[in-house]
Formats: sequence, structure tokens, C-alpha cells
Amino acid sequence: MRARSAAPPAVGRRSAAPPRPPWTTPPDGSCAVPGVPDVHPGGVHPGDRRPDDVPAGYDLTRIPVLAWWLRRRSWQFQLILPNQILFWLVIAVGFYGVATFDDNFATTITWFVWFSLVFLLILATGRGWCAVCPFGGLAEWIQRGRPWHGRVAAGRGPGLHRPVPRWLANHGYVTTALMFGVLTWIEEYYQVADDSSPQRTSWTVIGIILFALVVFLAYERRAFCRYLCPLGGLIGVLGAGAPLSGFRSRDRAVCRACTTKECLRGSDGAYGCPWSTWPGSNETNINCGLCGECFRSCSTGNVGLYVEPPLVALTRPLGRRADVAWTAVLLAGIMVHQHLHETAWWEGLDGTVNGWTGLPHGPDPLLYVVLTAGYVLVLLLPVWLAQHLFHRRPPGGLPDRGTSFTYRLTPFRAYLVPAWYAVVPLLGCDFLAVQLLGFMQDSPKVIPAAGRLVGLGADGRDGGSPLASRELLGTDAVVRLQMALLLLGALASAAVYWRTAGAELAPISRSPRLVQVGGAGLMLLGGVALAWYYAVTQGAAG
Amino acid sequence: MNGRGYDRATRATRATGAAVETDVGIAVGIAVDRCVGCLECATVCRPDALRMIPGAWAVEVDLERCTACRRCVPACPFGAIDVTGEPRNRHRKVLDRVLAALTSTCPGNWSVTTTPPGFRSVVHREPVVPDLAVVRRPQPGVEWLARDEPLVPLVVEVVSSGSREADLGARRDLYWQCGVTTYWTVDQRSGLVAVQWARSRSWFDRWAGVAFG
Repeated sequence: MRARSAAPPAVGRRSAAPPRPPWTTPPDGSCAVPGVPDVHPGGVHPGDRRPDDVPAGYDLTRIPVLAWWLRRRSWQFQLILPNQILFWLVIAVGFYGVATFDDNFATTITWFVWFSLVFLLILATGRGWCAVCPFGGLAEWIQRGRPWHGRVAAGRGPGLHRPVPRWLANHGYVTTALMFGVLTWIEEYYQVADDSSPQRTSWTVIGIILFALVVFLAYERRAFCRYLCPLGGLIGVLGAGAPLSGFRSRDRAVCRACTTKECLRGSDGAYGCPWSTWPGSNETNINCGLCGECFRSCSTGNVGLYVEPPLVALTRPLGRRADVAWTAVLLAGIMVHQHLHETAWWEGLDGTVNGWTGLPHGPDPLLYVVLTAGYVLVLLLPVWLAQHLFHRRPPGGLPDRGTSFTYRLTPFRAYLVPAWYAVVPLLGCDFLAVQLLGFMQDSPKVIPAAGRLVGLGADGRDGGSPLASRELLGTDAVVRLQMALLLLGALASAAVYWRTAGAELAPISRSPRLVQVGGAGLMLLGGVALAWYYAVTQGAAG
Repeated sequence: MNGRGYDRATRATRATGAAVETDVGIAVGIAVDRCVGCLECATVCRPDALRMIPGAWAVEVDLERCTACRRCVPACPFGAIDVTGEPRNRHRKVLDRVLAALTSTCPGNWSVTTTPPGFRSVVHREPVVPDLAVVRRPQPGVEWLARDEPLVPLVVEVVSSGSREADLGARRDLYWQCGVTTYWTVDQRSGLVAVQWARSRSWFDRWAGVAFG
């Protein structure tokens, strides 16, 4: 048998070099940061740099005292400990203190002081509250088996240290927004923040602590804070435009060349990032819990704590994620519910539905869910309209960003994400404005309530203290302050949208200028409408 | 092989977020929210199956390249990668793709199998099992000898460096003795196909412009 055979032609192997992020390397790549050693086990090739390797903003760790403090192993412990004491005091006083809402230290400090100041802290520092949070703090101490000293090896210590389920992780902050919705309903249904028994405040705090503890013991790192904390998404999203932009790399080229990545895996003296964040890719403060572990662990000293002008982080396109936009929409829907459930028509509707379901009072959970979902749909309507009226398929189609919930890019999402990132300042101001009235008019009550703890004041009913009825601001002044705050938020939102939409919607919109003007106008209109709402409802209440 | 089969065999299936399973049973899930784009996984990935999502700080996996070796799983600092399915070496991976391509184009009265009954010639008593065969009537357990009617018109061998000489020589002739008239050899490294067919006691060959690598 005659046979002809041929060997296949030699074909070169595929490159074994790891893929690199899709940035363009500048021809002259020397952009070293003063104070950062450019020597690393992996080395930094001069060509492996890009223009935004060095973040904008000011590195607070250049201040020697702050850097010294941040390097202490006990830094976060020192922040959390006073809060921890205060929270256990709140729990105890809620159970064993005076039974009246306005005279109890637990209720006054929680609902008149803390719940207002936390929003101020969010707008100023992003996750500043998370750095001092007693819920996560206590659970983390237990998870590690020690409050601050030393470091437990990864996977050691009490608890199962299981990885976060993928279905939970892939939905990002959306679950935290849903948890916030549940907490809001509990707070309204059981009237925890209204004139009710202080024990309910204590039970609420205990419930959150126990929930945090269970999640911390089941899953690794701060899975609770990142995916399940009722306030986690709220704090991250509302604080996204805050000036404090968190810990990030001083020079990303050094991080890319790093082969040890102690910031992720931990070192002898520090843990890997509890928030699952890499300073080398951190573009925003949403994922930075300000714990400083990366600052302590980095062997090259390439991590800094940055501040930058407010709102700048909201305009950065890289790293902008759909789950954050969806979280903002859900939070806005919950906020609309909170505004409207004060109105007479809602109470009538709620009473009718409660008659069907047999609940003694509202808000009816069914009505709460349905109406909040309805508000969310209404809030999404402008985006849907803009997409259907103005979308134009760009040459080559939209960028392919995979199939994940977080990064998938569709025409609707291309309009949704910049719009709802831009709404964040207005939403943050709205959350703060809601709390202003209580803070300005009732927060002085915390002083006689605290005095009662140490035996000052009369027999538990301190009618004699002038502070019990003292106001920081009158109702009219508070309403004016609220209106100013909302208009400021609306202006900020419009400015952010103007900038982002102008850059991002031009290639995909038939009339980008109209979308830009329309979106910014809607945000201004939303701010004016909210200001009017505050003037009507709270002015009348006052 | 028509264009449809080619497309199906070479289409890149990318997994991000929820796990996506391929036809051959490999599923890779990347928790995108936990992925920070540090590319620690990519540095250990030998088939170069992991790459950055453009415009995002997260990676995606090309399941057509992934061999489910699981080197990336411990490399990820956050445990964001989850791989299921039997690990495939290069030989198995190329074979899976040829199988997928042939299955999609095969007529109904034929079937493609990776476990055909062994061929046994009158000369060599040891049975020889090909990597893949197209059979008319699959009858497990039946020893097929040379027949007038070609029950097995096509046999495919994925050629590795160790078996190159045998695949291109003795094995091919053995299959011919058993009635096989068309014989494909797929180069494991490049994935290119050499199509050979027997006519008048001679083997003719040509290169197919299809790559299964």
C-alpha cells in the first residue's frame, strides 16, 4: 500500500505571558512618586506605566503623625472601642432606663443624634462610619479571636471562613439595599424610631449585632459589611462622591509588578484587605472600609490615604458599576416611600390593605413592597425613555464587558449607570435632610438623658431641664436649611451628569446634547420638587 | 464540515459572573464583584485563558482555552474563582472540540463517538481504539471487522508527539484494513487537520483549513 503522509506544519505556541489590562503604555513612562521606592521583587518596567498610575489628590499619609497612627496595629481598635462602649450602653439603657422615648438616653442618642450625624459623616468621609462601626467591629474581633494584637493566620480563628457565595457576591451592593428596605420596614412597622418603647431600639441593635456575628462566623473577611449590612450599600453609595477617597495605590505600576500582594493576602503584622479591595485597582471609596490594613501590610510603602475634590470619583468611568447604580435606584425608591407614607392618601390606602390582610397597623408589607417597586419603576422611566428615544448603536457596537451583573453593558445600562451615579449627591442630601428636623429640634434632649444616667436630673422625668425642650434651630430655619441642602444636591447631581453624559453618551446617542440637558434638568427639577415637598410638609408640621 | 460546525467548535465562550458550562462539562464561575483585577490568576494560567474585561477591573475566562486545571483557584487572593468539571489536557481538549464540530454536522443515521468498539485486524490481534469515530450503527461490544459496507467511514486521531509515527503509519493502515476510508489526524499543538482518504489502495491527503486548537 502506497501512502503519502505529511507532518503538520510547525505552529508557534501561544504566548505564555499573562494578559495585561487594556491600557495604553505611554512612550515615556517615568512617573515615579516621591517617597515610593521603585525597587520591587517583581521590578517595574519603565514601559509598564500609564498616565493615571499616580492618583490625583493629596495623600494624607504624608502627614507624619497620621502615618504613625495608621501604622499602629491598634488603630482601628482605638476607633471602635469608644463606639462599642456607647452601643452596649445604648442596649442596656434601652432595656433598663426610663421607658419614655424622649427621656431615654438610648433612643435620644440613636435617633436624634447618631442617625443624623452618620449621614453627615457619609457625605464627608464615605465609609468613615464603617471604620468605627461597632457592629462589624465586634464581629470582626470575634472572627479573628482577638481585638487588635498580632495577626491570626488566614482561615484560622473562630468561624468557618467560607468564601462568599458567588450569587451573593455577584450582585454587589444590591442585596444591601434590599436589607436596608427590610430594616426600614421593621423600623416603621414597629415604630422603633417613633415615640415607642426604648426596648425596641435595643432589640434592633441586638438583632443587627447578632446578624453580623452569624455572617462573620460563617464567611471570611467582612462579607457582612460588603454584602449584607443594611447600611453597607447606603454608606458606600451615598459616600461615593465624598472627598475622602480611601486607601489606594501611590503608583499602580508598582502594584502591577508586585508579586507578593501582602495587601490582599496579609503580612506578618497586618491582615489582607477585609473588604476584598486591591489598592492597585481601587478607583473609588465605595469598597474601602478605611481600616488601613493595606497601608500597614504593603512591603513597598506604596499605599496612601487620599483626599480629592468632592464628586470627582463619581465622574470616573473606569470601575463604574451597574450594581452601584441599581443600589442608588432602590435607595431612591425607599426614600420616595418614606416621603409619601407621610401623606394622607397613603395612610388611607394602607388602612384599606391592612383591613384585607388583618394587620393592626401599617405599613403593610405587601403594600410596602409593591409601592416601593412601583416607585423604582417610575424612577427608571426617564432612563428607559432616553434609551428608546435617543439610543444609537455605535460603530462596532457597545463595548463587550462580559455577562456579569456588575459589568454587563446593554443600551439601557449605558444610560442608567451615568444617570444614577449622578443622582447620588441629590440622594445623599435627601437622606441628610430627612434627619435634620429631628437633629435640630430634638438632639439637645440627649444631654439631660445622659445626665440621668449618672444620677442628675429629677426622678427619671426631667421636666425641669431647659435642654429637654430646647431647639438648635426653629422649624422655619430647618426647612430653609433642608431646601438649601436639596438645591445644593440637585446642582451637584446636574453638574456630575453634565460632565459624565457629555463624555459617555455622545457616541451612543442620536442627540447627546438633548440627553445631557434633559438629564441635568430633571435632576434640578427633582431637587426643586423635593425642596417644595419639604417646605409644604415640614413647614406645615412645624 | 460546514461553516456551522466550525463556528460552534471555535466560538469563544466567556464566563463572568454566574458559572457558564461548556458542552464538555467545564464550568468556571468568577465572582466578578470580588475580583479586583490583580491578575494573580492570569500569571498562573498556562493556556492563557484569563484576561481583563475591557473597561472594568475584573477578569473573564475564555472557556475554549480553559483546561480546568484549577491553578487559578488557589492563586486568587479572594477565592473568587470556582471551577468544576474534569481537568482536560491538550489532547482531550482538542478532541472535545472536534467532537462538538462533527456532532453538529453529522446526519441523523450516523453518530459520533469517542468510545467506539476496538478495531482488530486479522494480522494484529490487539484491539486498537481510535480517539473518535463516525459510525453508522453503534453496537457496543460487537467486534467490527472489515466489511464491504463501511460501517465506520471516518476515524479521527489527535496526534501527540509520542504517537505521531504510529498514528500516521501503522494505525492508519490498520483502520484501512477494517474498512475505514477517511482518516483525520488533528495536530494537538496547532489544531490543524490533515484529511486523508483511501482510493485505489492509495492514501491521498490534504490540509483542511480548520483549526481546533
